[in-house]
Amino acid sequence: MSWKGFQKGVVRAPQVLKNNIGSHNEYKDPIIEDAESRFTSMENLTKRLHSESKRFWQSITDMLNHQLEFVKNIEQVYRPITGRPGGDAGDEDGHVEGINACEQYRNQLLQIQELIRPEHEMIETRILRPVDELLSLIKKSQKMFVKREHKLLDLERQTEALHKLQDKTERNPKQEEKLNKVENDYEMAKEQFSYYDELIKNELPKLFKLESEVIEPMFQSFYFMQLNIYYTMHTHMAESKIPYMDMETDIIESFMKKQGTTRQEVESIPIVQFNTNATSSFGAYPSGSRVSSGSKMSGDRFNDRSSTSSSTSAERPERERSDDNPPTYEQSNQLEGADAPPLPSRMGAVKSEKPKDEGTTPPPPPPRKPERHSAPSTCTALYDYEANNANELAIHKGDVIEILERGDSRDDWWLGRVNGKEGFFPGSYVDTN
Amino acid sequence: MSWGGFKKAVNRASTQVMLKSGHVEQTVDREFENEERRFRTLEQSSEKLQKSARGYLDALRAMTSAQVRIAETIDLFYGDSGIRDNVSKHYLAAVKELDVDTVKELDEPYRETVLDPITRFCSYFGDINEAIKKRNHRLLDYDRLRHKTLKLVDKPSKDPAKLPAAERDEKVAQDRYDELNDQLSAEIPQLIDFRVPYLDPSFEALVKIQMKYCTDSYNRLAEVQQFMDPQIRENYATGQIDSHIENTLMQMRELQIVSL
Repeated sequence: MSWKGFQKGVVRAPQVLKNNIGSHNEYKDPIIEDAESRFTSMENLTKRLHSESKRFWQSITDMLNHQLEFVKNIEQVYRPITGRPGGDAGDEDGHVEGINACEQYRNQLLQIQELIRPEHEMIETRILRPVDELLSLIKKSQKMFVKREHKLLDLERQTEALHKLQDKTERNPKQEEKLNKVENDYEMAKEQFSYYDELIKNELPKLFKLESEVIEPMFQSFYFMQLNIYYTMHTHMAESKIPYMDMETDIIESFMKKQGTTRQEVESIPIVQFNTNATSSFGAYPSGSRVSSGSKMSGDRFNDRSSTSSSTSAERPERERSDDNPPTYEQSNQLEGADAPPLPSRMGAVKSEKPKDEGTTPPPPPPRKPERHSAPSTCTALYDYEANNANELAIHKGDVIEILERGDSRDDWWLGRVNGKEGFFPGSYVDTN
Repeated sequence: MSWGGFKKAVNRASTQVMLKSGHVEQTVDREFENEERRFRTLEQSSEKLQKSARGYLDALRAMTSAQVRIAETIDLFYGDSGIRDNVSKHYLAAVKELDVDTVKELDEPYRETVLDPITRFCSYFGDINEAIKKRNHRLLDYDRLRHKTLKLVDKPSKDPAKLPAAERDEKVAQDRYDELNDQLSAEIPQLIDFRVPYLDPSFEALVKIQMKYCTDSYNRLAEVQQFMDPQIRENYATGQIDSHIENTLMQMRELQIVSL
C-alpha cells in the first residue's frame, strides 16, 4: 500500500467502524448490490467452467491412455510366455490373431489421439483463454466497485463533519473558516463519488450485456468441439473395423459365449484354490463366490488334515493373528510341527551361549497348550536366569520347573512353568530330574 | 507364532544363511524355476491389465460427470445473463441423460465382461504365491535335513539310532517338498495355458464398450443441434464464433468500468 493509500485508509477507518456498527445510514443501492452478487456468482461459475473443462480433457486423455495400456498388456498375455530371459519366444508364436488385433486397435487409438489433438488446442484457445479473460475483466470491474465504496466512505465522513458544523448555532471565526473548508471537501467528495457511481451505473448494464454475448458463442464453441470429439472417435472406430472383433453382437452375450467354461476349468486347477480361507474380495461376485466354490477342491485336502489342530489354533494369542501367514497356512504349518520329528537347531546352540543378548530377537509368545510332551515332567534350575523380556521365564537356582515344551537339545530354548508363570528358558541352565 | 512355527522360522533362517555361505548344498529345480518365472511374467501383465481396466472405467465416469458439470455451469451462466433460447437446457438434459445411461448401460456390462473377470483372474495369484512360499519353506527344511544326514554319515554319532532317524526325517521332508513342487510345476503351466481363453473375451468387450460409448454420446449430443440456428454450425466451422468472442471481449476491455 502506498503512503497515500495508507493515509486514506486511516482516515476512512472510523467511518467503516461506524457503518459496521450501524450508527449511520449507508448509501444503499439495489443495482449495486445486485451487481455484486452477480459478480461473485460469475466468478465462481467462471472458475468452475475452467476447472471442469480441464477435467473433461484430462478424462479423454486418460480414457485413451488406459486403453493403450490395456492393449499393451493384453498383447503380453497373447504373446508366448517363455520364462527365458529377454522374453525370447523361440519357435512359439502365441495367439497371433489377438496380437494382430492389438496392433490394429493400438493404431486406431493413436490415430484418434492425433485427430482430436486440435480439439484440445481449441479448448485452450476458444474456451479457457476467453474464460480467463472474462474472469480478469470481472475482477477489474470489482476494483471499480471498491473504489466507489471508498469514495462513498469519504463522502459519508465529510457529510457528517459538515452536519456537525452546520448544526452549531454559534460559530467563532475559526469555525467559520473550518466550515468553508469542510464544505469544499464535501463538494469534492460528492463529485468524486458521483463520478464512480455514475460510471458503474452506466457501464454495468453494458458489461453484463457483453458478457451474455460472449457466453453464448463460448458455449456453442464448446458444444461443437465436444461433438467433434465424439464424432471423430465414433467414425474412426466404425470405419476401420478390426476383423478379430465381432462388433455386431451383444457385449455380454458374446463375452459369455467366448469365455465358455474357461473360468470353471481354471478354478478346477487345485493350485488356484490353494488358499482356501483366502480373504479374497470376491464375496459379492455375481456368479458365486470363488472361495466357496473353491473349497471343494484343495480345500478339503488341507482342512481334513488340519482339523486336529484347529482347536489349539483357535486359542492362540492375539499376536499370532497378525502374522504374515494366512490361517490355513498356519494350521497346516503347526501340523507339520506336530507330525515332524524334533528338529535340531543350530540357532539354539548359538543363542544359549549368550542368552542375555536375546533381547534383539524376542522369542514368540508361549502357546496356550503344550503340543507335545503332554506328560508333565520337571527339571531343576542349576543357575539363575533373568528374564530379558516378557516371553522369557526367570528361574533361580534350585527352582523346580515344569517342562511344557522341551527344546531339541540342551542348547535350545525350553518352555516351562514355575510359580504359575510360563516362559522360555535356556535348556543348558537346568538339570532334568 | 506357535512354538512349532517359531522353531521352524529359526531353523529356516539359519538354513538360509548356511545356503548362502555354501555350507549347505541347495536343491535346484530348473523346471520349477522356469515355471515360476513364467508365472511372474503373467502375474505382472495381468496386474497391469487390471490397473488399466480400472483406470478406463474411472476416466469414463470422470468424462460424463465433467460434461454434466460444464453443462450446469453454462446453464447457470445463461440464467444469469438472461439468454432465453433454452439451448442450454436441452444441452444439459442431453449430457445428464448420457451420464445416467453410461452408468446404466456401460458400467454394468463393463464390470461384468472386463473388470470383474480380470480382477478374478488376478485373485488366483495370491493362492499360487502362497503355495510357492510354502514350497520354498519345505525346500529349506528338506535341504537342512539332508545336510544333517550327510553330516552324520561323515561323522558318525555315538548314538547308532541317530542316522536312521535323520534319514527318516529327510525322507519325510523330501516327500513334503516333492509333493508341492510337483504340483506347482504341473499346475502353473495349466493356468498359463488358460490365460488367452480367459482374458481374451474382455478385449473385444472393451472395444465394443468404447465404440458404444462414442456412438451413443455422438448421437445424443447431435440431437441438441435441432434447437440451434443452423447458421451457428456454419459460423463455428468458419471461425466466426471465435472472432465474435474476440470482438466482444475487446468491447468489454474498452469499458471504463474495467480500466483500473
